[in-house]
Amino acid sequence: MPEMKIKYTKTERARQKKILKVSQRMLPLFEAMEKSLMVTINSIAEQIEKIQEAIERNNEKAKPWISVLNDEWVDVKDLISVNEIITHPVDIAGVRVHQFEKVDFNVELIGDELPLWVDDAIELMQEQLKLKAEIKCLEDQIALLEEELLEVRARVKLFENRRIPNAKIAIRKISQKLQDDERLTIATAKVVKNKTE
Amino acid sequence: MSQLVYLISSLPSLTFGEAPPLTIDEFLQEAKNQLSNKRFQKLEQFSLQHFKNGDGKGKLKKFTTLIDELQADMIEMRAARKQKRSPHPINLSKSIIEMNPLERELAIIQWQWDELSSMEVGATFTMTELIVYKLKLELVHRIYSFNEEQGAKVLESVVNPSQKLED
Repeated sequence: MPEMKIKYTKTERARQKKILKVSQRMLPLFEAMEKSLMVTINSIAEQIEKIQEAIERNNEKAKPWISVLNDEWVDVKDLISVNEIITHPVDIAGVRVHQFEKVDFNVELIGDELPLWVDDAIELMQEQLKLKAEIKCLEDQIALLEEELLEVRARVKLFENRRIPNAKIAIRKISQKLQDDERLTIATAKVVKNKTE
Repeated sequence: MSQLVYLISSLPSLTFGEAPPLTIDEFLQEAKNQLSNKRFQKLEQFSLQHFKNGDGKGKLKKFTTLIDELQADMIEMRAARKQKRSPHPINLSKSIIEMNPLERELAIIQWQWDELSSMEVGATFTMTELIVYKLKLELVHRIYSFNEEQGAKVLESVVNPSQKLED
């Protein structure tokens, strides 16, 4: 780290004291923000896990009849697709993210001639697509929160490792120099006084 | 007539739920080679997969009526499901509703199979028997296409569209 240049004045000491005071007040705020972001990210990760479990449960539930989806008379793949994932903006831990609302599906009209299982398959696919869309939104939220967390961590480090120690060193050095100067002035004054007497 | 007897005699037997012994194309090619144009066209027009209302005469007419009723049952079951009420089907048993989609489909196919089998009675070496064979062959092929691994891939291809379906 390069040697910092210090102005040995009372004004500079006052400025460094102000920096120290502000930094000591800001550090706990950033630490709290860091903690809050970490808690939020963990909670979103837990939500994702729960949704994954729900997807697995649906797959397990459909397992006994999943073979019918390969019915050579019906191409169910063309009957459903996602048109749009609808979200709304919210602030989570001070970060603007998109909250999942619903999925707008393109569902083809199920003709009367199509077998009954098609209805069940469409229902299952809608549910799984909705859950996957929810996961996608939550993953995007985590990405944004992690970005913010990196910035906050950088600030915490800046205050902990640079601003506060530097201000403390500067105050100590300035005080020492000012004290030395004061002593020197007093001693000089005494010598001058003795000589004149 | 002798051609019809020869063709029917040469066809492998079909069993519900077992692997199809020949493809629909192989069957049609064989029929085309053996039958007159008129008979072949009649055979070609019958299909459960591409069913049209009002096809057939006599026993086949009865069958097309049953298929019409089956479609009406399906409409009724769909409507009941939407309206959250118990359905009132004509031919299908109410217990079908409780089944899972695969069991339900198999039960419907079994019902179609049984109806086709009853049409065969007393129709040995006739066009009716040949048409019934074709329709049963379609059913056997359909049941055979129900495959757990492939079905899961179909679901995956819709739920994760980036994942391509392997044919």
